[in-house]
Amino acid sequence: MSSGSVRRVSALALRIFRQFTRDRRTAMLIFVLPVVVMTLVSYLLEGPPSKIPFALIKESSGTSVIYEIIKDMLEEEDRVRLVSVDKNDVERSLREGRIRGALIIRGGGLDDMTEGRAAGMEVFFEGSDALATGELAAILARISRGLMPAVRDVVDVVGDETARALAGMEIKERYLYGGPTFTPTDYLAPVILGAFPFVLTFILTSISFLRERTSGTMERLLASPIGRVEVIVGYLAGFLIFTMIQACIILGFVLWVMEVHMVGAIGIVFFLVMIITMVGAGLGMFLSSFARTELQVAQFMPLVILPLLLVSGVFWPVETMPKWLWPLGYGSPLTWANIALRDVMVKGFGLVEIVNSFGILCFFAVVFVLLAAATLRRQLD
Amino acid sequence: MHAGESSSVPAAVEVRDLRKTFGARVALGGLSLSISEGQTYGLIGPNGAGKTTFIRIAVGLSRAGAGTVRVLGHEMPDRSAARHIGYMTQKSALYNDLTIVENLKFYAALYGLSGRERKERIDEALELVELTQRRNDLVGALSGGMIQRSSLAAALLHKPRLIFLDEPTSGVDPELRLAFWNHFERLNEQGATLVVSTHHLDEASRCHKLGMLRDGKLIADDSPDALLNRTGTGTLEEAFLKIAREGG
Repeated sequence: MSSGSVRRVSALALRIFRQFTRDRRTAMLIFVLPVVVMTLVSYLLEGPPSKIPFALIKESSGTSVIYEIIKDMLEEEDRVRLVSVDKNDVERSLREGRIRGALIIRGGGLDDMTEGRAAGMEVFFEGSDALATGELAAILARISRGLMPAVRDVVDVVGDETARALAGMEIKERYLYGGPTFTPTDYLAPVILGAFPFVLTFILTSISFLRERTSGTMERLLASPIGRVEVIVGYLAGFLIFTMIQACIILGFVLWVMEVHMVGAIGIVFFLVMIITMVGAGLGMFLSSFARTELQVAQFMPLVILPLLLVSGVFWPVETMPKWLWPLGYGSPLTWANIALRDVMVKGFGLVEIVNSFGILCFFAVVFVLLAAATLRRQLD
Repeated sequence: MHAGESSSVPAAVEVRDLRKTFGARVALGGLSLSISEGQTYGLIGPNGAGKTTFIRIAVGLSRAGAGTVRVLGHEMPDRSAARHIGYMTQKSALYNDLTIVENLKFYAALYGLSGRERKERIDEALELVELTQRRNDLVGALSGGMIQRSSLAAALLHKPRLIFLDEPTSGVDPELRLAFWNHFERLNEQGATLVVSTHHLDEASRCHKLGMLRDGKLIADDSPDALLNRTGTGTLEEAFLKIAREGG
């Protein structure tokens, strides 16, 4: 390398260094973002730190040896938190998300055992989250296998009748939502259906809006009789066409290729995708006003969209995440998109039953659209 | 070109003590001027003199810091004035991935034009800027001059009574500049009031009246001939430099 060449290369490298130091956001992206994202990802990959809420119900009033033994065994499990639930409140508690499953034991008293009457055991899963259900099922299978030796420790002499009673015990399964054929894919599919239109509209609107500003067309638009709200509604309507086509393709793929279970009404799913599109478009239009170049718009993906996605309960519900992540989790519109879409697709809920998550999504859509309108108004400086 | 200036002609633009600052920088420091209907008014001055800032306030894109701007009787910003105003920005303000006619259809729709009326206006505008043959070309594939002509067509579609042209001939070759000024003259003859900002003082001589801006202030406001007589100079360049040196 000649000295002239070294000078040219150094000048180029120095110029790039100078440009980056002037762009604080890029500097932050390079140095801070990996730490933030790795922290979030490490929490997600480690699994939910909080335990799965589970109830153990004794249906008969007398003492139940089986109940006591299983309770001891469950208390030793790291991944389960026993929640006290009245035997008449099991379904409601499952529906409200207080517990993810319940084991209901009928009989199992000492007299029953010695007289050969098997205890009735039924596990009632909430079922919408196949990962949590699978984890609980594995724990119960382990308990079931350890039950015989545990009973032998308690009952001094195991006679033929008791042995028959133990052999006749099996845990029946019941599901509030989903079922044994549901897989983690069923739980993840609604996330795909929500995240793709959200990310697509975010990218399209933020880049289009930036181009409108930098090319001068926004200036020209705002000098015409079109109102600011009309600009935003026009944008929403324009992008809605593409996201609805995309939603059709994703839904078709999810239902017919991935063979994901779909319990609820397809119309509600499309309606939700429409609202999610508005949230993504509103956020895109709003944030684009904070970018001067397309490079800065691209930075919003790892800076804003990725964290919003990671904390949205993709793998585990937000309530199972560390508490310090809750404000971020519940502040992410994608969390409510996932909740609403899962409620419809996995649980078969109607609009009335998803009113909370649906309402919050609408709230996000309105807030982002108003913020976008406010940033457009800023043109009148 | 007809005179277009008379005390009985109502003012299309009336500016009173207009002030605007961006941070510490004073863009307009008490600008007052009046533009009569039917005039072609030239705004001349160096970069940063406040020409674009004034035009942006006059078309309702920016708020005045102090003072007032009345445009066609509307105190700006007033959205209802927009349909009577044409505005050609410094940048092309057209969508590169649409054809000329698609761009024009879009802008026509913004001004409420539809059906036969829209088609006729687009045809007229394309004819005026001599782009009828290229109507289906993508804007991104056009030369700079053609893009400028298309932008002018977009600004004229709704037959505005008042047209603001912000440096319409900047970066345009001499032949096209001449063609542009011929377009402006025809528009003016059709009754439109034109406010044209320019760096080219040779073309400024074709205006009825000139407003010379420097550091956000009006340092002269008269017809080209009157400015030449007053300064005793032979060209508008010399007149401008003399007035600027004398501080108006």
